[in-house]
Amino acid sequence: MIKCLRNVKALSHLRSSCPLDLHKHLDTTFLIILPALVQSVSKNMAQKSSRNLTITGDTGCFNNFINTVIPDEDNLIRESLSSLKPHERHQNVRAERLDGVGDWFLETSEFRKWNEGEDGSLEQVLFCSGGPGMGKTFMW
Amino acid sequence: MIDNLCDQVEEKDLAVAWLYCDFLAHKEQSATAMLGAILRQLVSVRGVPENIQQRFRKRFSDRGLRLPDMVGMLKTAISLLPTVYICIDALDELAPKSQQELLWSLWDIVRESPNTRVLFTGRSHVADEVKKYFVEAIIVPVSPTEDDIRVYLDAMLDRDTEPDAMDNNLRRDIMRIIPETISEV
Repeated sequence: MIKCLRNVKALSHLRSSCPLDLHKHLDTTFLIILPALVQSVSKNMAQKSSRNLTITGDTGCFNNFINTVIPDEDNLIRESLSSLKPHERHQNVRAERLDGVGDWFLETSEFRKWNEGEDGSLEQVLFCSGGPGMGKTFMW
Repeated sequence: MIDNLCDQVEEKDLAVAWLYCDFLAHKEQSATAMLGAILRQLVSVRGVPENIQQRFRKRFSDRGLRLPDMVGMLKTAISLLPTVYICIDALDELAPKSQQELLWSLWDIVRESPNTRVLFTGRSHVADEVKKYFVEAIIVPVSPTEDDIRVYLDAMLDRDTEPDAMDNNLRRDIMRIIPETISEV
């Protein structure tokens, strides 16, 4: 799959540097093969591709399209590692959090030892324990 | 706290990853997916190391990633980083199987990677589970201070959708009695 994506990227690069007539030909090829390729990457991306194709209908946009819809290998690996999105949840928690609430925790000797301790120290693991609604998530 | 750690990233050369566990997401929150989310955060800043790319190519195309693959890749990623902080919120909200697999995997990682720090939050009954794997874990009881409660109440009263129902005396009483009462509990 990754090899396949590389080929698409290589074709994309070729497209931008090739003579005009071949350029057109490649555009057409892209129109035909791209949705299939993208579909093989993931359903999610395939949805994006068909949306983009319908909306733009413009072959000139393909370079941007390739770069945004088909990620480079690093992005592909990152996306495949997990479907969870802790960053989104963190934005929600940040939005709810009130300035100053729970800051005292950062000053406790337990947190400081955990944060500042040497590698391999006994304080490698910290467990903050509290009942429901005791502000554990507010500390984040 | 996460933001505080992230603020230290440039100054102290460390990496931070975090997770929120959720009762409503038992199905999605397998130990493999959770460790994958940690790994994704750790390889987001400096790119995916070559040996992780190779392992990923081999495993992912064979049969998908499984827990031992993820643990192995995480150990590799951590070994290439300075200090790594992993923060996991609401450990008690994980399904029991995921919780045990996650704790076991983290134990395996921490044991081999002395540059790792792990912080959990959770209800007190999971402290025993954490202690099973991390005998030396420090347990810190967390409860809001009177100041925390005052800040919270102030914000809630300011957002009240019926401000006409409030007057200065009532507000003063609320701000005095509730923090005192809660901190006595």
